[in-house]
Amino acid sequence: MVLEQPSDAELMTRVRRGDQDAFAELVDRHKDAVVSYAARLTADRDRAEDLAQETFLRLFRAARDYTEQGYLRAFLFRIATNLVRSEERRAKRLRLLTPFLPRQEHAEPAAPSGMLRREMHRELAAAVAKLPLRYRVPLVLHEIEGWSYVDIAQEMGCREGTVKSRVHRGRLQLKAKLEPYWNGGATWKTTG
Amino acid sequence: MEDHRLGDLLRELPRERARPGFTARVLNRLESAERQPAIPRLALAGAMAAFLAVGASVLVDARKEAAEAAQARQALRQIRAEHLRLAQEVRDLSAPPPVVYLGGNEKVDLVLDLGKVDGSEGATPVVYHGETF
Repeated sequence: MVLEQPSDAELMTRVRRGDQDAFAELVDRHKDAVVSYAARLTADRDRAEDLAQETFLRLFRAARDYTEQGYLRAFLFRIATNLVRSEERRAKRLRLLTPFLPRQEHAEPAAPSGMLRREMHRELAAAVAKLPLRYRVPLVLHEIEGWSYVDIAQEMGCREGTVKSRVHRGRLQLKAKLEPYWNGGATWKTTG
Repeated sequence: MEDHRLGDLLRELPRERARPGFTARVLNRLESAERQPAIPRLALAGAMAAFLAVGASVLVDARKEAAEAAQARQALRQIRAEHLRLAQEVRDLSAPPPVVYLGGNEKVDLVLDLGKVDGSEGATPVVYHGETF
C-alpha cells in the first residue's frame, strides 16, 4: 500500500496550527530547491544555506497569514529573494559608511590556457550573482529554474514583456562580463 | 557568445543541495527563536521602562532647570537694580558740594561753599569750577 503524500497546502494548514512535523516535512520537500535558488542568487554556498534556513523560518512565522495559491515554492522563492535584497541593501549601506576600509578582493582564478568547465561554472555563477537583482531574479527563475515568463511575471507582479526584457538585459550583461573569458581568456591571470 | 550557449551554460550550473542536517538546523533555530522571545520581551520592557524613567527625569529636570533659570534671572534683575541704586547713592554722596569760586592769589582761594549755607539745597552756582579743588 502506498501512502499518498500530503500536499503543500495540507501541510501548511497543519503548520498554521503549529505542527512542527508538518513544517519539517515541508522543509525536507523544498530545501534543495531553496538552497539552489539562493546559491544562484548569491554565488556563495554558505550564505545560500543561511538564507535558505532563514527563508523557512520566515515561512513558519508567516504561516498564519499565508493563503494557499497552489505553489508554495514560488512563495519560498519570494521570501528568499526579499532576504537577498535586504542583505544586499545592508551591504551597500555598509559600503557607503566604510569607504576607506580595504576591500576584500575576490581572488581571480588561476587558469590554464583552456577553459575548464568547472572554472567556467564558477565564473558564470559569480557573474550571475553580480547582476542587478531585477535582472538576476527573472534570469535565474527562467534559465535555471525553468519557470515560464508568464509564471515569473505573475510572481514578480509585472508584465510578461517586462520579464522578457529583463531576462534579455540580464543575458547581455552576463555576456559582457564573460566575454573576456570567452574570447581566449585575455584577462585571465596565469599562474607562473 | 551566443544566446543558446549562455543558456546551456546556465542550465548546466550544478544544482546545489542542502547540506545534511539542514532540516534539523532549521528546527533548532525555530525552537531557539521560540524560546528566546521571553527574554527579549523582558529586556524590551526593561529598556522601555528605563527609557521612560530617563525621559521623565529629563522632563522633570528640564522643568526644574527652567524654573531655576527664571528665578536666577529675576534675582539678577533685582541685583542690577540694587546696584544702580547704590551706585547712584555713592555718586550722590561722593560728589563735592557745589562751591563758587570767588577769586584768590597764589596762596589763597576765595570760595563760597554752598554746602555750608543754610537753605542752599538745590541752589547751584552759575559757574561751577569743581575741578579746581
